[in-house]
Amino acid sequence: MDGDRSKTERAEAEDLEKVAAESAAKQLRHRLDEYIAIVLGVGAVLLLWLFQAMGLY
Amino acid sequence: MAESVTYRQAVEGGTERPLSIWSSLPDFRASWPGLLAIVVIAVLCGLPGVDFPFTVQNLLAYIDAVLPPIYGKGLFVDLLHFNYVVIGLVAGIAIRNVVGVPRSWEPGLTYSGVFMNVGIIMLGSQYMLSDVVKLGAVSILLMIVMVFGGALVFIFMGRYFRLGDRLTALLSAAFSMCGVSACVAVAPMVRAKSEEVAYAIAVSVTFGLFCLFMLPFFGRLLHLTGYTFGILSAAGVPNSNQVIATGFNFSFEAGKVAGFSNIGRVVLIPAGVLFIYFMTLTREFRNSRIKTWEVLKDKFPLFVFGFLVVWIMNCLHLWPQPANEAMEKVMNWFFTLCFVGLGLQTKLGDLRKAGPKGILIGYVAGLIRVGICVALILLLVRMGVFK
Repeated sequence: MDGDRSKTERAEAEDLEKVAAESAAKQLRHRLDEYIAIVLGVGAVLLLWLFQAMGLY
Repeated sequence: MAESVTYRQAVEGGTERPLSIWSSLPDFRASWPGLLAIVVIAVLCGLPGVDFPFTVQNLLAYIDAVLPPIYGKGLFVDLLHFNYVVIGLVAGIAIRNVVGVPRSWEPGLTYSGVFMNVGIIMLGSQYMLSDVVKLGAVSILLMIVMVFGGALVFIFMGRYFRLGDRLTALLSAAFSMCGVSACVAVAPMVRAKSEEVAYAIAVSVTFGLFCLFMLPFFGRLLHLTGYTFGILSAAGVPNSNQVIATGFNFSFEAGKVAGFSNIGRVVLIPAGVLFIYFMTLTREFRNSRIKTWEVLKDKFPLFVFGFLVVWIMNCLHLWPQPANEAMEKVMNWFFTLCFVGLGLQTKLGDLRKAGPKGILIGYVAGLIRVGICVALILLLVRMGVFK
């Protein structure tokens, strides 16, 4: 009986740890996606501006 | 220095060591098939400025020209409002759910969020100071009401249907803020189980999918303008990419306004997460402690600063008209790439995962929230705040 309970508690604790790790990893990816987007977005705008200044269009 | 661990190790093992930020990104060799698939499908659907004749967009225009008109209008372009953005999304959904997507595409498809953020950053080149003053105050006010009011609606519904504090918190975060991101952010704070997280995500994604196709029809029935519909989609649809897709499904102006108003919403995520945590804080997780400042800092969307940089440069008239037009075109490319990626990741089987009770609660509460938002917008139109 006690063994079953401790097994359930251990499984629940492992699941909570998994959710926390998944959440941390996803938020990290989310943050990195934001950095990449800033570089790409601002970079694209500056590149188009440069093309305009060079008289390419 | 603490040794960092990889993304996979963290997900599979659970560890106290800090995560290395670069390890969360799939390497380029794993990503290129999915990225290439997104670009090829987007070009085949039809991108503005890309001179390629064999596109789905041209095919639909041809079918409209050949078929007898319905009430004097073409079926795809005039009645169903199929533009290249919507075509990309529908094509993605069709490929994923009819033909299937190879496993090798999956890592590359995760970049659709990057494309959306790039599109939003470039949106800064389309707004001047006066636009932001006009749009900003109203949309931010409405977003505040909808984020916190929407969360309260879900908390009430959760208590009424006895969903439990954890699931109530997850659903209110997913629906009142930024869908999947907010749900994932709240999950460890409320000590949610993995099946509860999967369930809440499935319900919010399927409701967003429903909004994506039904809300534009509803908006046209109510004769909403692109401006008001853009605000409605930002306030009513759960996931950010679905918000912008819903806007573009209505009109280009609505898509741009939805993208802008969505910034107001994502900025509120940190405060919203804390609000939900404290509102649903009961016996179940009273012992868990959170650091308020860390939550505010970690959940703040940094890409907003990219938007601000581009917008300030536009306000200073740093680039003349042709560059501005090119920026709009490139912005639409990124949004199209995002929607193709979104479509390719949309599993209609998630509807089954949400289950009948989840769909009922999610849809009832979601529709109440949309209803409140429509009522507020119509009131503001009548008061002359919106035109």
